[in-house]
Amino acid sequence: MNATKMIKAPIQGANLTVNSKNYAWHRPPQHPEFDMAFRAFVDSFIANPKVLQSGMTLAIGGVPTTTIVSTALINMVRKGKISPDMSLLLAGPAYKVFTRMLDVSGVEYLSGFESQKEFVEFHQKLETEDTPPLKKAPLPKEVKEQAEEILEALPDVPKGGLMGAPSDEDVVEMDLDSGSTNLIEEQEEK
Amino acid sequence: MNNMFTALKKAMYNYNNLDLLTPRKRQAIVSTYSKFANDYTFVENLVGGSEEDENEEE
Repeated sequence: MNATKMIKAPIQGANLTVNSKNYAWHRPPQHPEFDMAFRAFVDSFIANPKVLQSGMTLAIGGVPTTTIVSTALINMVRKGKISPDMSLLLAGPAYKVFTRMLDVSGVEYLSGFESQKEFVEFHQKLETEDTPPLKKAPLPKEVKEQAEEILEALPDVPKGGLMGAPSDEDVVEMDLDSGSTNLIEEQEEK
Repeated sequence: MNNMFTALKKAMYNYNNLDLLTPRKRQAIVSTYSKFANDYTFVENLVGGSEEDENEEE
């Protein structure tokens, strides 16, 4: 990356002259009612396993839950889904649902309301703890049996691969003495 | 409170620690959410139900 690009900041007063008409949060929000907004939050953050997993990873890593939920809500404001006032109304229920999900999954996390001492203790505990080795989850019996059956039923794979060059063993013998099989009729020389 | 993050954090604290608030503040929060379908008790039971089901299975 170009070093000059990294330190290239907007000039003083750029925020006063920039065209900000198309910012999503300047338009009316997509979910103006609380129930709709709460449903949108649950659909996009709690019911989406990918997003929930990344949120849990942050919580396990020592990021306070209040920060995770605040970021999610401000992100919704940024995308124009909810208004900033709605994010304040949504904060409590969103925090409750997210922390319940963490409790159910047995994750240790920082709630964001701890004292400084508790915060330091949590991070010291994180540093001393070794990350558990990843264990391969064993396949269920039914799946294992099915996989074995499929393997047995498979025909033998030809040598050299399907697209490989034919091996010496499989040379097809052609009768070269037989007559021409060309479709174009040969013209007799006069 | 001149910070959005601080305001959100305070909202989260008040909602999740109703017992620590004064009765008037507690009533204000409960009555605010009682207007909606997803009110305080609904949110309380939204994820809590799964724990009860697990206990029943055991």
